[in-house]
Amino acid sequence: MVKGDEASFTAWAAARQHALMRTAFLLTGDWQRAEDLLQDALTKVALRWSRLVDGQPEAYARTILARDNVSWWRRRGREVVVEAPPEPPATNDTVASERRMLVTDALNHLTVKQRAILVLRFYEDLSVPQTAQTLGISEGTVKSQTHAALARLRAQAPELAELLGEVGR
Amino acid sequence: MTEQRVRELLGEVADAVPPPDVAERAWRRSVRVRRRRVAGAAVLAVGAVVAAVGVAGVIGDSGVGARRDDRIAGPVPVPEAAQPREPDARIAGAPAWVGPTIEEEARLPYAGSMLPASIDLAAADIETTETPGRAVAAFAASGSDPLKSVLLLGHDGQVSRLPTPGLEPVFNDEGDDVLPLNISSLSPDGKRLVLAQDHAVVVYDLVSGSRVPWSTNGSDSYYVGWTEDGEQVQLVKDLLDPESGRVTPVDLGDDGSDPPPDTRFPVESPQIWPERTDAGGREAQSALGQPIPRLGDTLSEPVYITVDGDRPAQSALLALPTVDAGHVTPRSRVVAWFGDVVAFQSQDHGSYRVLSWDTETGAVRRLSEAELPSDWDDGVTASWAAISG
Repeated sequence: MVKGDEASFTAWAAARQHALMRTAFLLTGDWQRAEDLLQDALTKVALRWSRLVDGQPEAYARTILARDNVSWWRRRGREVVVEAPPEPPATNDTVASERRMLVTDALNHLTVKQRAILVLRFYEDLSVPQTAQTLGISEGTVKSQTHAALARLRAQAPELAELLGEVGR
Repeated sequence: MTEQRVRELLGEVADAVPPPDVAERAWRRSVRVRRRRVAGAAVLAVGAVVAAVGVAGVIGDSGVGARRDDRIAGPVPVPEAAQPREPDARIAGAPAWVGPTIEEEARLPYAGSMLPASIDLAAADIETTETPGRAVAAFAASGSDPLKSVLLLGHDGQVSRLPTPGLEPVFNDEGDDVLPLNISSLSPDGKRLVLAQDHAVVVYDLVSGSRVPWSTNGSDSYYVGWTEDGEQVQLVKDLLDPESGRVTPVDLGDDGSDPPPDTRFPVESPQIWPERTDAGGREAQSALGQPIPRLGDTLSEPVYITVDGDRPAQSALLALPTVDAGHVTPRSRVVAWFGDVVAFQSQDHGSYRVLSWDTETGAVRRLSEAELPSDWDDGVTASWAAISG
């Protein structure tokens, strides 16, 4: 461990932790879980910082976030969270806040892998091959699960569709 | 719900997420993980064949390690006056000495310390008790199978035997049997002992005599020990609360990398046991390494004790030769700081000592020597509580 590593790592992590936290929250829907997940991921990045510093530490961190979240759910016995998780500190925008809550609740109806695929593809804008590589699954699985996830959102989140004025379309 | 709409909604949720503040915490945690991982890996690599004597945690004023109140305190030793010895070399600006061979160790003069000059692990009249009280160190024969008892060194220098009936053999990932006791089994405060079982641990309270088995709920537990603060049991990956038995997933994974040694010296393999930090922040640790030509050509397989301070003047190195085949390696692990003196273990088949190394003068002395039972020829596995001078 080189002394300069600490400075360069903390500088990088301080600059990128907010973006990574956003991803972590989308993956988990739980503020505390997201922060724990982020800290674990950053710890892993720090552990191999000397080799990542000149590469793509953020991509590595996102991979860790996505995979560790799936692992965490497996360890929890594939239980499904049905109660509304705590939301990050709210703004005064009630409608927007309600919409965010509905989106978060709707995401809870997905499997953890479906959720990760949606986050990586539509929030991180990763391609199908990149998403497959990040999660360690086949491209076919990414495609099929993307389709299944969107279908499930439509079927199981009618309140969201209603809020978005999509009923009857 | 179109893909574009999903993008917008996810972005909207993400935008409401306030910034976290975990960067520095993650770095500090990585440092602790690195230390734990290296210590654990070393035990697994050494296995039951190599005698192991170690320390139970890091002591330091940096907030890491046992609370100062929980340390086992003793009088600062007054080593016998020793003429300063000219360093054999200077490495990275710091003095470096070649230490004694195993044979030379037996002739070293004693220096006084809180440790008894003799630890009799072979006495016929060792008391067997489930309440031995707070211990300074715990010992077992490395080849014990099954482990029926653990010998404990008490504050008064007396050795007692803690019975450990019913323990099953423990196997690591490679299928090799490993001793349930290891270098971190004794808690830093010396009050509790944790032994490994198959996906379970047993926590012994040495003061009350209670014995609590906990399942690890499937988490690997062939290597277990106390965390540096002595509050949790570190499993192979996860953490276990010794009060509730709750297992906290850590799952830090394994990137397969060996961390570089956290030392200014050119040793090639990482620290192998948890280091000890003195009040001034100097870190003492042992490390395996390749020969350093400036220290002579007799060090074919040296073990190094390194002291790293902020400046070269606060740093020092002691190279312990293991040129003769048959020695148990690694010979040495750091136990404690006593002022400017580092206490460390050294052993070979049939011998076990605690030595002192004065980092100012280079002098090496004997602090303690153990009498070993005759059937302990595979070596000793030991765990030391946090000791301060």
